[in-house]
Amino acid sequence: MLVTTQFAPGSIGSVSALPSHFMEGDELVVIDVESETPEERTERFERDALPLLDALYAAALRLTRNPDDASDLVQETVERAYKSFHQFKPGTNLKAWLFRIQTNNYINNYRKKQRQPLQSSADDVEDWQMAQAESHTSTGLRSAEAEALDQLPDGDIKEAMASIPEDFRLAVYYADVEGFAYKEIAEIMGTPVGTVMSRLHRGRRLLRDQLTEYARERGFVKDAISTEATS
Amino acid sequence: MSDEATKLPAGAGPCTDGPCTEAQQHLWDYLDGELSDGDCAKIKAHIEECPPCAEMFENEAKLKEKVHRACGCESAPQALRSRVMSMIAAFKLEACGGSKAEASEQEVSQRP
Repeated sequence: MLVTTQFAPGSIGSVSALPSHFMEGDELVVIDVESETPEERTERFERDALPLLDALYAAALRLTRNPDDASDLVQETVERAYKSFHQFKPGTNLKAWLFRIQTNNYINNYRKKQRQPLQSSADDVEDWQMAQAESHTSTGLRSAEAEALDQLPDGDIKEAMASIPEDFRLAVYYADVEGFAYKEIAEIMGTPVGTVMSRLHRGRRLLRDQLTEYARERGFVKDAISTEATS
Repeated sequence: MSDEATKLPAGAGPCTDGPCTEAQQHLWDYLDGELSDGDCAKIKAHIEECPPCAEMFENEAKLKEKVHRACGCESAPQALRSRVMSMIAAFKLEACGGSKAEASEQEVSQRP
Protein backbone atom coordinates (compact mmCIF):
# COMPACT_ATOMS: atom_id res chain seq x y z
CA MET A 1 0.00 0.00 0.00
CA LEU A 2 1.42 3.34 -0.99
CA VAL A 3 0.91 5.96 1.66
CA THR A 4 1.54 9.62 1.04
CA THR A 5 1.66 12.06 3.87
CA GLN A 6 1.32 15.71 2.96
CA PHE A 7 3.28 18.29 4.87
CA ALA A 8 2.89 21.97 4.26
CA PRO A 9 6.12 23.90 3.63
CA GLY A 10 7.67 25.00 6.90
CA SER A 11 5.67 22.55 8.95
CA ILE A 12 7.11 20.08 11.42
CA GLY A 13 10.02 18.16 10.01
CA SER A 14 9.54 19.12 6.36
CA VAL A 15 12.69 18.39 4.47
CA SER A 16 14.91 20.75 2.47
CA ALA A 17 17.38 19.76 -0.21
CA LEU A 18 20.34 20.82 1.93
CA PRO A 19 22.08 18.41 4.30
CA SER A 20 20.86 18.83 7.89
CA HIS A 21 23.35 19.96 10.50
CA PHE A 22 22.44 19.75 14.13
CA MET A 23 24.05 19.17 17.51
CA GLU A 24 23.53 15.93 19.36
CA GLY A 25 25.19 16.50 22.73
CA ASP A 26 28.59 17.96 21.86
CA GLU A 27 28.69 16.31 18.49
CA LEU A 28 27.81 17.98 15.21
CA VAL A 29 25.65 15.61 13.21
CA VAL A 30 25.38 16.02 9.46
CA ILE A 31 22.78 13.97 7.63
CA ASP A 32 22.44 14.32 3.91
CA VAL A 33 19.04 12.84 3.23
CA GLU A 34 19.68 13.02 -0.53
CA SER A 35 22.75 10.79 -0.47
CA GLU A 36 21.70 8.52 2.41
CA THR A 37 21.23 4.89 1.36
CA PRO A 38 17.89 3.16 2.07
CA GLU A 39 19.76 0.94 4.50
CA GLU A 40 21.14 3.92 6.43
CA ARG A 41 17.74 5.56 6.46
CA THR A 42 16.10 2.44 7.86
CA GLU A 43 18.73 2.24 10.56
CA ARG A 44 18.23 5.90 11.41
CA PHE A 45 14.49 5.31 11.59
CA GLU A 46 14.92 2.38 13.93
CA ARG A 47 17.38 4.26 16.15
CA ASP A 48 15.35 7.48 16.40
CA ALA A 49 11.71 6.41 16.12
CA LEU A 50 11.61 3.18 18.13
CA PRO A 51 12.38 4.84 21.48
CA LEU A 52 9.18 6.86 20.96
CA LEU A 53 6.97 3.77 20.80
CA ASP A 54 5.77 4.08 24.41
CA ALA A 55 4.84 7.74 23.93
CA LEU A 56 2.98 6.91 20.72
CA TYR A 57 1.11 4.10 22.42
CA ALA A 58 0.15 6.21 25.44
CA ALA A 59 -1.23 8.89 23.10
CA ALA A 60 -2.99 6.27 20.96
CA LEU A 61 -4.69 4.94 24.08
CA ARG A 62 -6.04 8.41 24.85
CA LEU A 63 -7.24 8.69 21.25
CA THR A 64 -8.85 5.30 20.76
CA ARG A 65 -9.65 4.58 24.39
CA ASN A 66 -8.98 0.87 24.05
CA PRO A 67 -5.72 -1.14 23.95
CA ASP A 68 -6.41 -3.17 20.78
CA ASP A 69 -7.25 -0.14 18.68
CA ALA A 70 -4.32 1.73 20.21
CA SER A 71 -1.87 -1.03 19.21
CA ASP A 72 -3.24 -1.15 15.67
CA LEU A 73 -3.05 2.62 15.38
CA VAL A 74 0.57 2.71 16.54
CA GLN A 75 1.58 -0.03 14.15
CA GLU A 76 -0.01 1.85 11.25
CA THR A 77 1.65 5.05 12.40
CA VAL A 78 5.08 3.42 12.40
CA GLU A 79 4.45 1.99 8.93
CA ARG A 80 3.31 5.33 7.51
CA ALA A 81 6.12 7.18 9.21
CA TYR A 82 8.67 4.79 7.76
CA LYS A 83 7.30 5.28 4.26
CA SER A 84 7.44 9.08 4.62
CA PHE A 85 10.68 9.18 6.54
CA HIS A 86 12.61 10.64 3.58
CA GLN A 87 10.41 13.75 4.04
CA PHE A 88 11.40 14.21 7.66
CA LYS A 89 14.09 16.82 8.24
CA PRO A 90 16.74 15.40 10.62
CA GLY A 91 17.36 17.54 13.67
CA THR A 92 13.75 18.78 13.84
CA ASN A 93 11.22 17.40 16.28
CA LEU A 94 10.70 13.74 15.35
CA LYS A 95 8.27 13.17 18.18
CA ALA A 96 5.98 15.97 17.00
CA TRP A 97 6.27 14.67 13.43
CA LEU A 98 5.25 11.14 14.49
CA PHE A 99 2.40 12.48 16.60
CA ARG A 100 1.17 14.45 13.62
CA ILE A 101 1.13 11.33 11.45
CA GLN A 102 -0.66 9.40 14.18
CA THR A 103 -3.24 12.12 14.79
CA ASN A 104 -3.91 12.55 11.05
CA ASN A 105 -4.17 8.83 10.57
CA TYR A 106 -6.58 8.52 13.45
CA ILE A 107 -8.79 11.39 12.33
CA ASN A 108 -8.81 10.55 8.61
CA ASN A 109 -8.91 6.79 8.59
CA TYR A 110 -9.17 5.26 11.94
CA ARG A 111 -11.98 6.93 13.77
CA LYS A 112 -14.46 5.42 11.30
CA LYS A 113 -13.60 1.81 12.06
CA GLN A 114 -13.24 2.21 15.79
CA ARG A 115 -14.49 -0.42 18.15
CA GLN A 116 -15.74 2.24 20.56
CA PRO A 117 -18.66 4.46 19.60
CA LEU A 118 -17.75 7.76 18.00
CA GLN A 119 -16.98 10.50 20.46
CA SER A 120 -18.47 13.90 19.93
CA SER A 121 -16.13 16.60 18.65
CA ALA A 122 -15.53 20.02 20.12
CA ASP A 123 -18.27 21.45 17.91
CA ASP A 124 -20.83 19.12 19.42
CA VAL A 125 -20.35 20.28 22.96
CA GLU A 126 -23.55 21.90 23.98
CA ASP A 127 -23.37 25.50 25.09
CA TRP A 128 -24.95 24.57 28.37
CA GLN A 129 -22.16 22.07 29.07
CA MET A 130 -19.57 24.77 28.51
CA ALA A 131 -21.55 27.31 30.48
CA GLN A 132 -21.84 24.87 33.34
CA ALA A 133 -18.14 24.09 33.23
CA GLU A 134 -17.24 27.77 33.13
CA SER A 135 -19.53 28.72 35.99
CA HIS A 136 -18.02 26.05 38.21
CA THR A 137 -14.44 26.84 37.45
CA SER A 138 -14.26 30.52 36.67
CA THR A 139 -12.30 30.97 39.86
CA GLY A 140 -8.82 29.60 40.37
CA LEU A 141 -8.32 26.18 41.83
CA ARG A 142 -8.55 26.46 45.61
CA SER A 143 -6.27 24.53 47.88
CA ALA A 144 -9.01 22.34 49.32
CA GLU A 145 -10.12 21.38 45.82
CA ALA A 146 -6.54 20.89 44.64
CA GLU A 147 -5.84 18.59 47.56
CA ALA A 148 -9.00 16.61 46.88
CA LEU A 149 -8.08 16.19 43.20
CA ASP A 150 -4.57 15.17 44.15
CA GLN A 151 -5.95 12.20 46.07
CA LEU A 152 -7.75 10.76 43.05
CA PRO A 153 -6.33 7.51 41.68
CA ASP A 154 -4.70 7.60 38.24
CA GLY A 155 -7.61 5.59 36.84
CA ASP A 156 -9.97 8.48 37.56
CA ILE A 157 -7.74 10.91 35.69
CA LYS A 158 -7.66 8.62 32.66
CA GLU A 159 -11.41 8.12 32.82
CA ALA A 160 -12.01 11.85 33.09
CA MET A 161 -9.73 12.43 30.10
CA ALA A 162 -11.67 9.84 28.11
CA SER A 163 -14.92 11.60 28.97
CA ILE A 164 -14.06 14.96 27.44
CA PRO A 165 -14.58 15.54 23.70
CA GLU A 166 -11.73 14.45 21.50
CA ASP A 167 -10.47 17.85 20.29
CA PHE A 168 -10.25 19.13 23.85
CA ARG A 169 -8.79 15.87 25.12
CA LEU A 170 -6.01 15.93 22.53
CA ALA A 171 -5.07 19.53 23.25
CA VAL A 172 -4.86 18.83 26.99
CA TYR A 173 -2.99 15.58 26.40
CA TYR A 174 -0.39 17.11 24.10
CA ALA A 175 0.19 20.08 26.42
CA ASP A 176 0.07 18.45 29.84
CA VAL A 177 1.29 14.93 29.20
CA GLU A 178 3.64 15.39 26.25
CA GLY A 179 4.65 18.95 27.05
CA PHE A 180 4.44 20.15 23.45
CA ALA A 181 4.50 23.90 22.79
CA TYR A 182 1.25 25.49 21.54
CA LYS A 183 2.83 25.94 18.13
CA GLU A 184 3.70 22.25 17.93
CA ILE A 185 0.22 21.22 19.04
CA ALA A 186 -1.19 23.49 16.33
CA GLU A 187 0.89 21.68 13.73
CA ILE A 188 0.10 18.24 15.10
CA MET A 189 -3.64 18.97 15.10
CA GLY A 190 -3.64 21.08 11.92
CA THR A 191 -5.31 24.07 13.58
CA PRO A 192 -4.31 27.68 14.31
CA VAL A 193 -2.55 28.38 17.63
CA GLY A 194 -5.58 30.38 18.83
CA THR A 195 -7.77 27.30 18.42
CA VAL A 196 -5.29 25.23 20.42
CA MET A 197 -5.37 27.77 23.24
CA SER A 198 -9.14 27.87 23.34
CA ARG A 199 -9.41 24.06 23.24
CA LEU A 200 -6.85 23.83 26.02
CA HIS A 201 -8.71 26.34 28.12
CA ARG A 202 -12.05 24.62 27.68
CA GLY A 203 -10.59 21.13 27.88
CA ARG A 204 -8.94 21.88 31.19
CA ARG A 205 -12.18 23.25 32.56
CA LEU A 206 -14.16 20.20 31.46
CA LEU A 207 -11.48 17.90 32.87
CA ARG A 208 -11.42 19.71 36.17
CA ASP A 209 -15.19 19.63 36.40
CA GLN A 210 -15.25 15.90 35.81
CA LEU A 211 -12.46 15.34 38.36
CA THR A 212 -14.25 17.46 40.94
CA GLU A 213 -17.31 15.27 40.35
CA TYR A 214 -15.25 12.11 40.95
CA ALA A 215 -13.71 13.65 44.08
CA ARG A 216 -17.18 14.48 45.35
CA GLU A 217 -18.40 10.92 44.66
CA ARG A 218 -15.44 9.55 46.60
CA GLY A 219 -16.10 11.94 49.46
CA PHE A 220 -12.74 13.70 49.01
CA VAL A 221 -14.15 17.15 48.35
CA LYS A 222 -16.28 17.25 51.47
CA ASP A 223 -13.42 15.95 53.61
CA ALA A 224 -10.94 18.43 52.24
CA ILE A 225 -13.27 21.38 52.68
CA SER A 226 -14.26 20.46 56.21
CA THR A 227 -10.59 20.00 57.09
CA GLU A 228 -9.86 23.47 55.79
CA ALA A 229 -12.83 24.95 57.63
CA THR A 230 -11.68 23.56 60.96
CA SER A 231 -8.02 24.43 60.52
CA MET B 1 -11.77 44.40 28.41
CA SER B 2 -14.99 43.12 29.96
CA ASP B 3 -13.72 39.57 29.54
CA GLU B 4 -10.95 40.27 32.03
CA ALA B 5 -13.43 41.09 34.74
CA THR B 6 -15.04 37.65 34.51
CA LYS B 7 -11.68 35.99 35.15
CA LEU B 8 -11.26 37.58 38.55
CA PRO B 9 -11.43 35.07 41.37
CA ALA B 10 -14.66 35.90 43.15
CA GLY B 11 -14.04 35.60 46.87
CA ALA B 12 -10.76 33.76 46.36
CA GLY B 13 -8.66 36.22 48.32
CA PRO B 14 -7.44 39.76 47.85
CA CYS B 15 -6.23 39.12 44.29
CA THR B 16 -8.21 41.73 42.44
CA ASP B 17 -5.69 44.45 41.70
CA GLY B 18 -3.72 45.02 38.49
CA PRO B 19 -0.63 42.82 38.91
CA CYS B 20 -2.72 39.91 40.23
CA THR B 21 -5.16 40.11 37.33
CA GLU B 22 -2.28 40.24 34.89
CA ALA B 23 -0.53 37.27 36.51
CA GLN B 24 -3.73 35.22 36.55
CA GLN B 25 -4.44 35.98 32.92
CA HIS B 26 -1.07 34.51 32.02
CA LEU B 27 -1.27 31.61 34.46
CA TRP B 28 -1.46 28.94 31.77
CA ASP B 29 1.01 30.61 29.42
CA TYR B 30 3.37 30.60 32.38
CA LEU B 31 2.76 26.99 33.42
CA ASP B 32 2.90 25.80 29.81
CA GLY B 33 6.24 27.55 29.28
CA GLU B 34 4.85 29.82 26.57
CA LEU B 35 6.08 33.17 27.93
CA SER B 36 9.19 35.05 26.91
CA ASP B 37 11.98 35.15 29.51
CA GLY B 38 11.06 38.71 30.42
CA ASP B 39 7.35 38.04 30.94
CA CYS B 40 8.15 34.85 32.78
CA ALA B 41 10.43 36.72 35.20
CA LYS B 42 7.73 39.34 35.75
CA ILE B 43 5.12 36.72 36.70
CA LYS B 44 7.63 34.89 38.85
CA ALA B 45 8.48 38.08 40.71
CA HIS B 46 4.78 38.73 41.31
CA ILE B 47 3.95 35.28 42.65
CA GLU B 48 6.98 35.40 44.93
CA GLU B 49 5.51 38.39 46.72
CA CYS B 50 1.81 37.50 46.47
CA PRO B 51 0.82 34.40 48.50
CA PRO B 52 -2.75 34.09 47.11
CA CYS B 53 -1.45 34.11 43.53
CA ALA B 54 1.37 31.75 44.49
CA GLU B 55 -1.20 29.36 45.93
CA MET B 56 -3.36 29.50 42.82
CA PHE B 57 -0.38 28.88 40.52
CA GLU B 58 0.82 26.04 42.71
CA ASN B 59 -2.59 24.36 42.73
CA GLU B 60 -2.94 24.48 38.95
CA ALA B 61 0.63 23.27 38.51
CA LYS B 62 -0.10 20.37 40.83
CA LEU B 63 -3.09 19.29 38.76
CA LYS B 64 -1.12 19.62 35.52
CA GLU B 65 1.59 17.43 37.04
CA LYS B 66 -1.00 14.91 38.21
CA VAL B 67 -2.48 14.60 34.70
CA HIS B 68 1.05 14.22 33.35
CA ARG B 69 1.86 11.40 35.74
CA ALA B 70 -1.44 9.57 35.39
CA CYS B 71 -1.61 9.51 31.60
CA GLY B 72 2.03 9.41 30.53
CA CYS B 73 3.13 6.19 32.14
CA GLU B 74 1.66 3.63 29.74
CA SER B 75 4.23 1.51 27.99
CA ALA B 76 3.63 -0.23 24.70
CA PRO B 77 2.52 -3.86 25.20
CA GLN B 78 5.09 -6.51 24.34
CA ALA B 79 2.92 -7.85 21.53
CA LEU B 80 2.89 -4.44 19.83
CA ARG B 81 6.63 -4.06 20.34
CA SER B 82 7.24 -7.44 18.66
CA ARG B 83 4.94 -6.56 15.75
CA VAL B 84 6.78 -3.29 15.21
CA MET B 85 10.19 -4.94 15.51
CA SER B 86 9.36 -7.55 12.89
CA MET B 87 7.94 -4.85 10.64
CA ILE B 88 11.21 -2.96 10.91
CA ALA B 89 13.17 -6.17 10.32
CA ALA B 90 11.19 -6.56 7.11
CA PHE B 91 11.92 -2.94 6.12
CA LYS B 92 15.61 -3.61 6.71
CA LEU B 93 15.57 -6.66 4.46
CA GLU B 94 13.84 -4.61 1.80
CA ALA B 95 16.35 -1.80 2.20
CA CYS B 96 19.27 -4.21 1.91
CA GLY B 97 17.84 -5.40 -1.38
CA GLY B 98 16.55 -8.67 0.05
CA SER B 99 13.56 -10.08 -1.80
CA LYS B 100 10.14 -8.86 -0.74
CA ALA B 101 8.95 -12.44 -0.45
CA GLU B 102 11.62 -13.14 2.11
CA ALA B 103 10.66 -10.04 4.08
CA SER B 104 6.98 -10.78 4.25
CA GLU B 105 7.69 -14.40 5.10
CA GLN B 106 9.68 -13.28 8.10
CA GLU B 107 7.02 -10.82 9.10
CA VAL B 108 4.36 -13.52 9.02
CA SER B 109 6.49 -16.03 10.91
CA GLN B 110 7.19 -13.53 13.70
CA ARG B 111 3.60 -12.52 14.23
CA PRO B 112 2.14 -13.75 17.47
